[in-house]
Amino acid sequence: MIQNAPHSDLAIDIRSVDKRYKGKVHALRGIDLTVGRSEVFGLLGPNGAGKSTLVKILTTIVRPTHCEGRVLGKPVGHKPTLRTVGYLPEHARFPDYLTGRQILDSAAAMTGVPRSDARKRIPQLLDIVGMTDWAKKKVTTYSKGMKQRIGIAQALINDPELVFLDEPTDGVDPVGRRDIRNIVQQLRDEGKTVFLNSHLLSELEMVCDRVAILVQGRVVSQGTIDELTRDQGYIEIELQAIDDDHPHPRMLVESSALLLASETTPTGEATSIVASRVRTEFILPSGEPVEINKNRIRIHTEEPGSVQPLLDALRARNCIIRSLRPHRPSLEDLFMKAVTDPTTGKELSPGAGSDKPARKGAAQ
Amino acid sequence: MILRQTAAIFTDAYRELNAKKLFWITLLFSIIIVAAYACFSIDDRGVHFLWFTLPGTEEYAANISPATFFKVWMYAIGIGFWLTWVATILALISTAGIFPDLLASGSIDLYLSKPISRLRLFLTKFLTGLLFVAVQVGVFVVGCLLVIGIRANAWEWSLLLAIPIVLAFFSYLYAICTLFGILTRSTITALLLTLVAWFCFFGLNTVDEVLLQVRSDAQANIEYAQFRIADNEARAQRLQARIDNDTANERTESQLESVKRTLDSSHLDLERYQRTLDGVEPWYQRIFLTKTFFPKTGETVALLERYTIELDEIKAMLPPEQRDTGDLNLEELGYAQPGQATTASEVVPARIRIEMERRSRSLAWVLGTSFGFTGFILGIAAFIFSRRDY
Repeated sequence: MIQNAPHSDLAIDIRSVDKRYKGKVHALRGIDLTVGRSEVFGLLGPNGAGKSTLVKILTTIVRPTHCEGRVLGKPVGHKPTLRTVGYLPEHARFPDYLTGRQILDSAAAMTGVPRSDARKRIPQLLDIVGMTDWAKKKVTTYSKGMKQRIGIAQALINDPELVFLDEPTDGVDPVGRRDIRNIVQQLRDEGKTVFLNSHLLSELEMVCDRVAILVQGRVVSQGTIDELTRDQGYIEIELQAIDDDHPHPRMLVESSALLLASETTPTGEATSIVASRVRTEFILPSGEPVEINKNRIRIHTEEPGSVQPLLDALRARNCIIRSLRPHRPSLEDLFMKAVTDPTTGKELSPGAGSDKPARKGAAQ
Repeated sequence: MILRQTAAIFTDAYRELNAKKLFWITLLFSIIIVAAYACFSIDDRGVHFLWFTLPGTEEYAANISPATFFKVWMYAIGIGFWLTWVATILALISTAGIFPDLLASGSIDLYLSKPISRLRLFLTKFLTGLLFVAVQVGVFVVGCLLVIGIRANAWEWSLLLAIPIVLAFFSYLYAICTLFGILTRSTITALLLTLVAWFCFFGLNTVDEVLLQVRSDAQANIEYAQFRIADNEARAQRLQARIDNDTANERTESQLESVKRTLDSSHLDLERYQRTLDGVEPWYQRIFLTKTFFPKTGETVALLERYTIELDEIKAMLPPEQRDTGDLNLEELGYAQPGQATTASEVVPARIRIEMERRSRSLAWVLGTSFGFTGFILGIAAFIFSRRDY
């Protein structure tokens, strides 16, 4: 018997989610994830990382090999909970013989929405997704974007507490994407929880409160975008192009660093600071690492005050500063970092990986 | 909510039927067949089509009532050919895609993410597949019922049994189609494999029919041979008595010789028929046993004939027996065997024996074991449907 859990601030609270498909594909490897109520949560990851599998487990379409935790306070797989859950699958496929309105009518019945409520809600939803004029036309006449709009409407027919949208902007034009973003924001304002799966990182960045990055069946990072990008920003200084009149930036920085170091630590500590450089990296006396690439100097700090002494030192050496730009990593930067093998610097192979033993004679 | 969900799935199924041209084509053909059926009539002068009298039907019309005439032809053409062959194939073509389409990526997700159990979804979808046949059979049978009522002035409500009977028949095949549809997720593969399975059942049924025919013929022939032997022995005794009493003429001895030769031939025939019966009986029993495990498509459809047409009505339609059995009484002649006819008129013709044998197969055997098979197949399909990841 399922016990009623006390009301939690978490819409999704899952631990150790594991899924091993027949054929030994290990899609999910111990996922721990929390999604708060009234939150827009984005799940990103490369193709085959296990994003859709995770959503399908949470919507009872796929059975987990192992799963602990709850969705809306009920154990994962609890069918009646789906009355308050909406779902738009990736590549949703609606019967061609139905009209948009009939799809919503059918979805309302399947989720147990009373007929009278459905009659009121269907026109509202058609209006929200901009499909009122197409409501009586068959799906076969719809464009991909229109199908997505109807798909979103059917996911919201039961006024859900939690909505899963798997690639909702797939095939949708820029106007449609903006509309979908507005719908997502409106849902959050209404106190709904939205779980977004998307490849379009910029879309997620605009609407998500929190994100998780899934790579090869594992969550490699999760948190708010601020949390994930904290301490990863930098300020980039672009110097006048190198020629005979202008020394190489490395020399400038080295001498500036020495100058700064001798100014701050006259005992000679600067020598050891400069000695800590690795390839083209330096560490300023204030502790910020510096990278140099041709005529660009990148200081790993988000504090403008930290770069002022270096700027002064550069200016003291008559250096011409062409630009100075603070830079904060985007979600795409985070994503690319997550899907790159730190040891080889190459992109990790797509997919969830296989547990099958290597073939005899395969590369060791 | 259960009712609302079920109603929604059935409403969608109805909309799907509405969108299928094949559904309307089949329905149109059903109406044309009923209309053609209504154009026939029968009276003492023969069988008529509109205002034309079909030649050579006077004798046939004299032995059959209008109600029986319409029932027999409805059974033979309407049910036996149209509904259980042509319309069934069209129905399979129309419904074979239900499960493969449901299981397509992006479609099944929409259903399974709703608060409905997989088993209930599976069973409801299966029942919607029967909707095609239910509508077709319903229209056809009600049409035929009206024709018989109006043309023969006989309201044969028992004909409505055709609806559940044809539905049961179709459900055997559709269960197989469902299993293959779930296993292969391909409409065309499911359809072809179902037709192969149906062909196998048809083959098994045909073997059973042939063996039953041979067996019944042998049984009838044995009884007729016994009559011939009794007749010839009686004639031989009479001729021998005339010779013994010196009342014979010059042809009596040759007549006696001829009767004795016929008698010998009849004994040989009797032995041959008995050997045939002994040879066919074990095979007949084996096939009967084998059929027990499979759906009885033929017998299921024949249930309608069983419950709507009496044996006497069938006897009346049979041509008179062309056998010279005389007016003998085996009991009087001392040849009577327990359980066998003692007069020629009591000998049951092979056609009636076949019908009697069919009717002796219990409803539990015909429907019970067929539904058992269907349930088994559906159970496997439901298990796979419920356990699979999509």
